[in-house]
Amino acid sequence: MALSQKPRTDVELMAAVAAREPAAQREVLNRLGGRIRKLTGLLCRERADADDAAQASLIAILKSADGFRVATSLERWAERITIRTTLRASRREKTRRTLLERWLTPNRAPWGENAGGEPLGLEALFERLSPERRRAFVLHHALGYTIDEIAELSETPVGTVKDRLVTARRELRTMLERDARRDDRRGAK
Amino acid sequence: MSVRWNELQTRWAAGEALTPEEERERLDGAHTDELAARELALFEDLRARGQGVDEVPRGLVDKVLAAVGARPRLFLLGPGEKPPSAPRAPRLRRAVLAAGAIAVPIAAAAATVLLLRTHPEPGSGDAVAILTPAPLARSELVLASGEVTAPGDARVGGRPLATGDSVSTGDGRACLGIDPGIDVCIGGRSQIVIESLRADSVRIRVERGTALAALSPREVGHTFALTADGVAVTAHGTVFAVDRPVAESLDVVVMEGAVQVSGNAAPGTLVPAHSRLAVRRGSGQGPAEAIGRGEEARFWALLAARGLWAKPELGVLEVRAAEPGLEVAVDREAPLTLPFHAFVPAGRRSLSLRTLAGDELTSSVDVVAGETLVVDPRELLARRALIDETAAVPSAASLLARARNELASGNAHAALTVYERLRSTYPTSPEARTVLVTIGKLELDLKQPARALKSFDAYLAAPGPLAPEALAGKIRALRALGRTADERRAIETYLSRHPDGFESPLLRQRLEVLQGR
Repeated sequence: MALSQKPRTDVELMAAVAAREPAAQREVLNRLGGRIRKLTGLLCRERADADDAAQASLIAILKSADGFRVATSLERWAERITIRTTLRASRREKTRRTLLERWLTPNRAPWGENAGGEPLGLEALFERLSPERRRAFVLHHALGYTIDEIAELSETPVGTVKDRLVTARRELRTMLERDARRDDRRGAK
Repeated sequence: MSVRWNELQTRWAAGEALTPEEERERLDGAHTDELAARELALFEDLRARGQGVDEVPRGLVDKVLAAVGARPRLFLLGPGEKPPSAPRAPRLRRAVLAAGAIAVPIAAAAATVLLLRTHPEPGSGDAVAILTPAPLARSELVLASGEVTAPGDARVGGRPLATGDSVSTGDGRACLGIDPGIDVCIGGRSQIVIESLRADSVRIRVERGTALAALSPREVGHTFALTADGVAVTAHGTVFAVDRPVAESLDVVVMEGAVQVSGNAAPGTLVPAHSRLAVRRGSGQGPAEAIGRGEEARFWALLAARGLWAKPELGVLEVRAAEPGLEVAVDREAPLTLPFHAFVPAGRRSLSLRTLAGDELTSSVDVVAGETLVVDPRELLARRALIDETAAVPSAASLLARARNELASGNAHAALTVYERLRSTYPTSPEARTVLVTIGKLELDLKQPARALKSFDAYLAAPGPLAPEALAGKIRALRALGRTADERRAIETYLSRHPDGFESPLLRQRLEVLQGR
């Protein structure tokens, strides 16, 4: 008689995680780890912060396993936990970056300029944005979250989220216009 | 960058939905404007960055597992034996429930290895093996609901069960937890006896009624069986039930995985998932037959509250019997009859009492790890009656404050509901007029421009200090509805009445665009 081998559903898998079954925990971490690190890398300025946020988020995901419901995609559910965890951690940390520190940091171009002459990219834009604006910008345009979802995840009003997006886009436009004017000047010389 | 394209791009970047024509116009802007093209390329780059995965930093998985404290697995070794090597981390595959005689390697996050060393006798060069009795599995009552009989001191939270102990039910249910990873639940009018708690061979005898077992994959060489009248049903990482309605008959029902049924001089039969095997005294075993979901559901229901005792930090919740027919549900699990005793996770738990008439009362209780919380439903019911008598309609000011709290938390729907309740409860109050503007803005945010227009028009019918905001909101609503001519007229009205208004610069730009059409 053929034996029945049925792969575990995500609900069963997370139930096993909730029961602290080591195999299930490791499976979930291997499955989600890369995606979670991608998210924290987009939401955090520094690589070290992104690594810490990824670790904290994965811990939160395992500890919240009993809250996983069948109507949700495991990946999407884990993303939301990651976003909340990362945003809360960033609110608690003290901001050490100052303008002086930015000027003294090696390989950092001063604000608004591109010493290397290369076209300005997203990194330059992210440097100009406050953490809150960067996150709203990334959550909407990189990760596809709606305004309402961002408002709920970041615990801010909808109007504030929209304002941050508008301001971020305005910064982008200003950056591109300055870059274009600089190119024109170089071309004219 | 043209003004028109800039306006479209700003709206799109702010998360506003554009019409198909506007979206086409926005994308076409890149063909004629280099700056627009660069901006669109950057947004496309950003969108691409949101896809895919990053490399996981070395050691992150182990750090996380160490932080959450995965349960260690103990490996008992004999002389000369080596500990099993840790299996490779599986790629993105789902684990498979064990079936048959296949040994499933378990990847241990932190495996503790207990090594038996032989101690040579003095003067002898030969090793002497030390024999130890097989370890026993821990078994205890984890849930008792309704009429349950167990050894007096083996109640939920009491002493563990021992070999020979019996648990029986009348109109009730009970569950045993057997470590590691075995739950045995019995239905009404059932009785089980613990035959063996040897960790390598756990056996529970079903005297009568229905017993269901759910278990995680067994260690190599470790088995679990439900027995009845000389028949053994041995599991291999499964969910299965043994139903013994009368002494002469026995049904084995398998929901997941497979079980081996043997005994009564009959050869072993492997019964797969979603199947039933009937064993009758005198006539032996029939063939395994498929069973439907409806019948499976009857057995699954016995496991309904299993999540309650799954965590390590547990307290005991006891809910006393009260009026007949009263049921209790903990953390929205299935309702169970009273009295109720069970292990539940420590922390705040929701407790729902349901009467025969269908009334439901939900309350929160705090369970402390390692302690027993006793709840008398009569107290909860009496407290609820008192609250109903003294409940007062909230004031307009308190409703306003509540709505603003919801707004500050980003809960637009909830805020709207409270605002509308304020207007319906206090229709002639000053607050009821003022909130029309906020309601309109919320309706715009929620993509309800027609309703928003009504709200703004209602305010503008007898305008107050928020008239400029209301008119600006009306303009947005008209634009969202595509009523361009009305939008233009409304802008002209705004600019004539409020030439230095906050929205004036933007509205002048918009008017130019509209007039240029």
